[in-house]
Amino acid sequence: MHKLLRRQLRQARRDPTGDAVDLDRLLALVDAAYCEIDRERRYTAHAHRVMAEEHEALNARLSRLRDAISQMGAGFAIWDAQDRLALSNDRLKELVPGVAELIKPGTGFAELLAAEAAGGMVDPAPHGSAAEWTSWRLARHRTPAGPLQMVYTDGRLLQVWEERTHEGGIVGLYADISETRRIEDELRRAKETAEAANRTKSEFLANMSHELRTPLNAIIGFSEAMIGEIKGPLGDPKYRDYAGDILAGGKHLLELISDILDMSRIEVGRYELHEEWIDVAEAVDTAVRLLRARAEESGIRLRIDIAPDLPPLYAEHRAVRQILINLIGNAVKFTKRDGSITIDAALLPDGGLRVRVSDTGIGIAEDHMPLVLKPFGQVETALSRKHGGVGLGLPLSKRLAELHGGALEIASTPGIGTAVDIRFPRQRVGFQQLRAAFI
Amino acid sequence: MKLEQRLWSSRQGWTLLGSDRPVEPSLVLFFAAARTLDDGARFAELRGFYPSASLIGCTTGGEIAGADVLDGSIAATAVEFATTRLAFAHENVAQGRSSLDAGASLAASLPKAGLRGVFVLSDGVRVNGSELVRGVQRVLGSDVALTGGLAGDGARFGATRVGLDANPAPGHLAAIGFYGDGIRLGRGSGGGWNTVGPERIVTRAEGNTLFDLDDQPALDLYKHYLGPEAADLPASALLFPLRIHPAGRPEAGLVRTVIGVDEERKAMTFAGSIPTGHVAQVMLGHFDDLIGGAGRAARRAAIPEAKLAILVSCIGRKLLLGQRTADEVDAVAEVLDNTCRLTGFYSYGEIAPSETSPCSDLHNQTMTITTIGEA
Repeated sequence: MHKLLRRQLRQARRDPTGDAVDLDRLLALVDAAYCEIDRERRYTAHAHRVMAEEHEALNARLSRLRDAISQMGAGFAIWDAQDRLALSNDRLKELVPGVAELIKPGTGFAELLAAEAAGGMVDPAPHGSAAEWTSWRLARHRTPAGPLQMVYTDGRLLQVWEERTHEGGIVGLYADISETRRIEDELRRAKETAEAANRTKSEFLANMSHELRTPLNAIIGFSEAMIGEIKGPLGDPKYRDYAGDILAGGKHLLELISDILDMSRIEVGRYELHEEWIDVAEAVDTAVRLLRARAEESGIRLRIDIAPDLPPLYAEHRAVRQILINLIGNAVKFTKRDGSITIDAALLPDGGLRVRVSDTGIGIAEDHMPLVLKPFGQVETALSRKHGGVGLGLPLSKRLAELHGGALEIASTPGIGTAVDIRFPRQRVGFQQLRAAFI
Repeated sequence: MKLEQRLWSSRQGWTLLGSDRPVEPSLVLFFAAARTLDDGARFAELRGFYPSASLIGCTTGGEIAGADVLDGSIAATAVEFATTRLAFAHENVAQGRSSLDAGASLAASLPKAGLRGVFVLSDGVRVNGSELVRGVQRVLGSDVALTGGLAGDGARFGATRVGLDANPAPGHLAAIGFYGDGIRLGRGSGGGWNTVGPERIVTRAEGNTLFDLDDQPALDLYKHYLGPEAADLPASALLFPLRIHPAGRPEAGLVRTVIGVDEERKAMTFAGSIPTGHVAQVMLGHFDDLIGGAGRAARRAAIPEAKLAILVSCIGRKLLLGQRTADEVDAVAEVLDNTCRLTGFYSYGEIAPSETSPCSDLHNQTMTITTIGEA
């Protein structure tokens, strides 16, 4: 008799000691048992249907992961808690062709390492002997600490990223970075070559400028002597004009050479500032005096707006004057008749000092902006053909400002005008009350 | 060690199941269907049988007396020890007291010197069993021999009651401490449920309330699994316990049972904590596997000196096994032969070491056995 029926008969006894059974009670128990069995069957069947669905969903997720892993550009491996290969992709086999047959589930990591070392596939040099390399590699594998690189004797370089998994294993990503490394090396070499060339160029220019100045001094000196007719009259007045042209041309050439020399010195780090306390208003006056005639010839109004109590500036007099001449000179060059140029200077809220040269000239297009700050940039544009010059003024002014710990900033709208700001840091601005003592 | 077992049923009142004729038992364990305790008369009768013993008991989801599984009865066992001394403790979770604090305070009431083991009974609805265990272990150490169970209320999940020398009441906890060189205790736990379907991550949970698995409402997942049985929630959710374990540590798994659902918040309350970030997997039970699990628990708990076995089995098992529930008690009886008497109850949570760890924890859906004997 079934265990359950025996129990039901016992439970359906009319009294605890006798054998007589209450049939209604027995039937109720048997009926309930049938219902229970039906329910268990229903519940299990339904659960199995749900599980089948979930199984399918899991399979879909699994095959998506498998697909992704096999399509990865890098080698992929999961090592289990016993450090045996649990999962990998074909790319990993391609990365280690010498031991490809070992890339299969169950292979121990140490076994794979030993095969690589024994086969002489890896260059152990950075870590010593093959045995030392093996123990280094094994230690880094078991205690991952960021990416590492492996040099193969066939010249390839492998980058390895390994991390611990929650189950106590390792997940690894392995990529051939030989090509990346080659490109990096090439870029670095190209950069070094370019830097060396630039240094050579600057040194050449520095030397050349010096060599050019000697004959120029003769040209300038003697043309001045000729204009002064020191050794007697020149005769035809035309000769005096010619001598004037020689002098102007010589002076222009000398300025240009000075600029080139300064730029070259700055580029090779040989420009030394000779600083002193200077009066900004006076520096502006000097620069304007030199250029006023040229501005007036072109029908341009020059306006100076400098606060009378501006504190002194600790800077190189020559550099500040040169910056101002360059900026005002540019403004004159690029401003049309009836335009105006304003030079103003003021303290900044942070205690620094700003000198601004603004004009109503042709302006600079946005895409030309980086060019105008590059040495000789103007040479590459149509501007030079129209306006002359080699485009050294702005870049040189910028470098000079930067040598002072300051900056040069340009704001420009084509057709409206340009404003160039030279900013000097707070440390270079003198206390107002000390002004009298220094100037 | 002498025992006397009595059973109360509505048909027959109190009957004596067997007696070694104890003279003055110090302990009476009683496990009672909730409604039998409503008027306090049964407790008074029990006190009348054993005037000088400490009476400790709780309400159940079914009573175990001998190899029988009963409903609507009271199973009482009086124990007279030869050399073993006992201490009792009592606590409650009234006035918003946390389960952790209640557990710690309960344990603190038991003298530490010579303590050999602790058996705990607790309210099964208002107490978070995992926190209770943590509280006890905080005071007595995590290696204390701790077993016990959470009181039940049929399959209703209403009020569960525990009492020490008083008619059981909701929100109470009680403990027995065993002392002396003669005491022999055995402990064993077994499940028999199988995990099915994919592992999911607990993405939102608070205490013992679970909201989301893999960012989806857990309640929706349960309804999907239950199909037509969803109409019987929360009781039918007992058919699908949840196994949880910390990520990467499947060996530290615990089984959790649903004891309530909140349709509005799409939340499910479990009989123990569900930590966010744990891995969860649904479980499915089959008759034979569950009965096999009970047999395993008995083999673990078996000690040669055992005279009494307290069986604490989960209401979820009874709900699934139906009339076959007695089969799992039979499986235990077969192992713990005839010299050992059985008592126990169907609970809302079992406290014992797990199948894989020596430290006690709260379990669900297991058969948990404490065997007691004296050298």
